[in-house]
Amino acid sequence: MDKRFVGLMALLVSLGLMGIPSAFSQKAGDVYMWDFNEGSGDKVTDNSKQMTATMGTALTPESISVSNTDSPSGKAGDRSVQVNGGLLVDDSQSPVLNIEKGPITMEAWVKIDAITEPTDIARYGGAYKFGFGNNGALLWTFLGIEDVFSDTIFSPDSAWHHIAMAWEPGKGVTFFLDGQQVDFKATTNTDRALQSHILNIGTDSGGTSALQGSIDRLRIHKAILTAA
Amino acid sequence: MDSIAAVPKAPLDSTLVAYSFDETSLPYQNSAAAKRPAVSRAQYAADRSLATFAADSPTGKAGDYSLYFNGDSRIVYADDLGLLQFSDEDFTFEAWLKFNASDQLVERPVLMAYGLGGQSGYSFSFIRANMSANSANSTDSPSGKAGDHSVIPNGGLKVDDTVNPILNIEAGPITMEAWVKLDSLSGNTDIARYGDAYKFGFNNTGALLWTFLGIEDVAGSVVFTADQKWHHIAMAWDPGIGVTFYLDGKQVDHVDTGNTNRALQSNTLNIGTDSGGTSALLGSIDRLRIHNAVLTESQLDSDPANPKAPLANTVVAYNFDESGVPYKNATSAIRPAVDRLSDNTLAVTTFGILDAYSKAIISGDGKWHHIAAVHEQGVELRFYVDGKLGDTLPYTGGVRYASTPNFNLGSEASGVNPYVGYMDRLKITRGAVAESKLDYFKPAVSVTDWSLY
Repeated sequence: MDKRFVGLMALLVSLGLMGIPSAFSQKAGDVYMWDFNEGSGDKVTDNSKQMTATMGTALTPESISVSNTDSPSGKAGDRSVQVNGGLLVDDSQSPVLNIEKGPITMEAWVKIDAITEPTDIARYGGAYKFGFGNNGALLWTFLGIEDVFSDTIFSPDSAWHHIAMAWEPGKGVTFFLDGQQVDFKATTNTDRALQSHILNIGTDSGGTSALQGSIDRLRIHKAILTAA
Repeated sequence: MDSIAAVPKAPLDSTLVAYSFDETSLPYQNSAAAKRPAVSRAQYAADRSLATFAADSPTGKAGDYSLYFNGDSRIVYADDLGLLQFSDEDFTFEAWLKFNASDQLVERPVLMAYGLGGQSGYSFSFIRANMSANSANSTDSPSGKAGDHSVIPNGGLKVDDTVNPILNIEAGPITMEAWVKLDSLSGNTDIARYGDAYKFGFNNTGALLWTFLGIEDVAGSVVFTADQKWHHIAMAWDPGIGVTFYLDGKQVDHVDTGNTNRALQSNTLNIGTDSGGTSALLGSIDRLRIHNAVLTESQLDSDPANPKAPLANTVVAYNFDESGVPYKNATSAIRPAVDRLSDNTLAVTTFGILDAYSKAIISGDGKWHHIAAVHEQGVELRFYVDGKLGDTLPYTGGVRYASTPNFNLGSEASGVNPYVGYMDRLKITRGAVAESKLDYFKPAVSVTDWSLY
């Protein structure tokens, strides 16, 4: 028998008896190197082929939004979206939503099953958002600066409702529910500097503050809209 | 408002985005003017979490790829065999990097990290210093024209004039001029200084100030008031005669002096701070120019709406019209202005024991550089850049076996402190690699080249 084979077998057996998991366990002089010459795909392996990683984070099916035929109008072809893990709009090229100095009106139709935590309808650039507090209060947020809560508490009833908030710089935020003004809160605060150019819909940028239900007809205006 | 359930309104002129979500699947289109499709956040995040292979490498050879990390990239190895666990022993980390300092998202981009941090494991990183001190670009300017930008220096800008220096005009004559917009004046304030030999700015009372550093402060009698408006400041030093002060294009004072600059202490031009980051200008700067001549009123760049072209004796001229650093010099010499704190110093962290911050600097200049950290157990950590020893730190602490044997590339665990840039030929050696054997000089030998007998 080849002496080298005998030697190798003896080494492997002895290592196994010692409880060391592999003939390639730690040894002075070991070298592990990544030359990244795979060139394509999502696997990255070191030159010893012992360490292989799949790049990226896993995507779970339940994190993907679902289109449904339900809508405020109830008409055929009028659909809405169940947001699940949220939607995202990349506004980084020639941005249009960098209106952090206002005025801003944000509005949407929502059909919410439950509110168990602060809930986003939409937010932009880590600077401004509209949604609900964890008690259901209509909420405009100058992110990192001020939460402007309305006194009106929204009760999730799995029915469609129209929510709108209009921020007039130097004056305050007007809150609307189902087309009627329900509150006004004075504030002279303003948005902080943009942290990004991403519009998140139905969750925050990390996927939390998720709206538990559906959204339709989301709009953002650079203007103070009236109930009409 | 679009508050009638049965009758959707058309978008208004003021409507920036409007999503009706009537598509049957992703993406959802914006029905206002701008094309802004709404996509799955989770899918977007998953796509962004991939690093990408790039046909770009230190060798430049076909088929030699590197890996590009975009700041959200995640690569995690489950090192169940403990191959990369270290304790009290020698080891060497090496890699080739290519990155732009201004692309970094965090003050401490981590190239690799073993374990979850906390009290065990290790990491290899570099320090971007205090990024909050980096300069910011502004679309505000004296002219107010589109495309005319200025710079908010914050922690200061610097220009390296070491090779074939052009600003070593310490014997004069010198005119320095700039537009400034100051929020406040709370102490000695630099507009610019060169080689710690000559500077112009303001003293702590707001007086216009020319300084022969270490020799004489020449203060004008005019006190400048910070009013958050653009003003043109100029000072002209005529050797043997004195310094003439100008405000908004008009001479406002002249002070006789026979003094001259001291010898150059460096070949660095600092803009908006001194060389240590103090004497900071609290506001914005535009159209900074240094001339090797005594300019007259009519030669100054003091018309806000109509910038003058550099003169024949203009040594450097910065318009700060780029969207960020580096800012180009508008005269013929290549002298980019970059953030003063753009140094990228290598660091090794032995979690739970020490953050070992070295003085070895890798340039974030968009070119390939080799870095290495060598741990000699019980003795020291040595840091190398491009094959040269950059720093040595005495160190006897060793490394603690990581409680969770996860090996992260391009960030710490959970994507914290991400690196943005290219990486190639990452090499980890269980042993102290000699300088001459670093992968900067010699192709690496991988474990696959071994044989057993």
